[in-house]
Amino acid sequence: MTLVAEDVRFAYADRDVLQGVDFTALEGEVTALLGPNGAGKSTLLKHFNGLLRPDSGRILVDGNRITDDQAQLREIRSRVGFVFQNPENQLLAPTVRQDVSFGPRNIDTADEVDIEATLARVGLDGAGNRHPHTMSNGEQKRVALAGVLAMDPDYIVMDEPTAGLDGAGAERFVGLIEELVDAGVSILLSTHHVGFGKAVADRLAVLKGGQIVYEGDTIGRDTADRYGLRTWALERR
Amino acid sequence: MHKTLEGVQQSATPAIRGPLQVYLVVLALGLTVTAPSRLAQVIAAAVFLGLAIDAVGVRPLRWLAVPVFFLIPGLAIILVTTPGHGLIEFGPLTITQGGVKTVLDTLTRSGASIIVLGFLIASTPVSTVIATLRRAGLPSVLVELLLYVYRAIGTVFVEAERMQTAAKARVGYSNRRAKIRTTKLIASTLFLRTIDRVTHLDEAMRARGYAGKAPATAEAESHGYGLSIGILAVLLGVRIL
Repeated sequence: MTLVAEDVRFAYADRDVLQGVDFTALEGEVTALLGPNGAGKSTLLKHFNGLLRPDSGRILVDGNRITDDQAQLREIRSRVGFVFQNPENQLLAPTVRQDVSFGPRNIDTADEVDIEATLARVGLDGAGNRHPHTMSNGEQKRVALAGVLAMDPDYIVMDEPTAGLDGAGAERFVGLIEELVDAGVSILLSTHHVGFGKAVADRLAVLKGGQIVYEGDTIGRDTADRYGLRTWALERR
Repeated sequence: MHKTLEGVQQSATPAIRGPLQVYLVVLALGLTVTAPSRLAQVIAAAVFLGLAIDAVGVRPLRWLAVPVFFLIPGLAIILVTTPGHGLIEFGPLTITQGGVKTVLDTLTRSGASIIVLGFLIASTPVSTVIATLRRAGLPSVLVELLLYVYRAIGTVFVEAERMQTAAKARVGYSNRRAKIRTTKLIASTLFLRTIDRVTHLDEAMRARGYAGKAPATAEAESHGYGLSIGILAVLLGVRIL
């Protein structure tokens, strides 16, 4: 399954965010979308789950253009899971178990999903009865991921998966991503942290000024600096 | 083009604006809530719905449905607990004539009030509301209380939209059954989430020196005097007749 954006343009009320984005995320790979804050990474990612529609251009999932057809959207959302940057924006049920089973119930796979096993997969064994909103940010992020994993998607799109996590939390997330890839899940993630992107991704792309300005297997410090990804800025002081 | 509530407010072009809009809504709200007939409330709802659509279009007004989530459970309880002549029985529960009347009264009164306030919320920045009420000499405690309620309503809208987007991403609205389940789930947590958010917002304001009086500047000029007088005349006329 590939995710493709073709000449995608999108504007919010006060500004043009995507200005002709051409981008491909391939099956079986981890693709990292890099870019400074406000570059439009989240906006682009939301298109692949059908949460946003381009003002012009096309979004293709496995060669099929995303339209307003509800049956197609259901199919796409069950195959392309979306993990929000801020877990509070994703978690909507009073208990962890209810939240994780929300997606499977919607796509009629609840009987086939072992919620406890899914929670164990993200390191939250026995947390089913806890209230998501009383959990730490790191735990909430893992509940959010479990909620998407429970839908058994082919592709997982993660918006800034390590935002707000400490070093150990971020490392744990890298481990989770590696496990998912081993299990055959393709991943597209956004990050403004070059080091994290390089650590997990097979391919990197840089979004800046509403367009993809760089694509490659890796990215050098000079290139990153040129595109405003000043990950090393503080280390130089 | 995709807008937040603040974006909608900023780009709204209401026919009545400035402090006059706030005065009109406050007066109309008073007349609507205390109107003795349902007709007056229906007319108020129609007039202010028209004003709101004219100001911001139809799409942003979908959020008027949010307060209805809170209204429906209350109405259901009133329906089966009001004593009187029984119309329909469901086991131990009886829907009475009095219950139906009270529910219709509450529904029209609350629905019309929501629409009247909705016009203000959708098309007026909160700073205009605060400054106008202060200028009108309303006690600051009352102004801050209104501000708190206003902010809470705005937060309900934002929170509901956030939860709806989250549900959409996990196929929460794919069919009727899923829609009902998702709506139930959102309704059950929306209130608590909103309180939580408002508490955090309050904390954040206090952290930046807020001590019960929010700074605000208002649009000084009012527009739409003729229309406002006409609307108030209609609401008063229906009330008298």
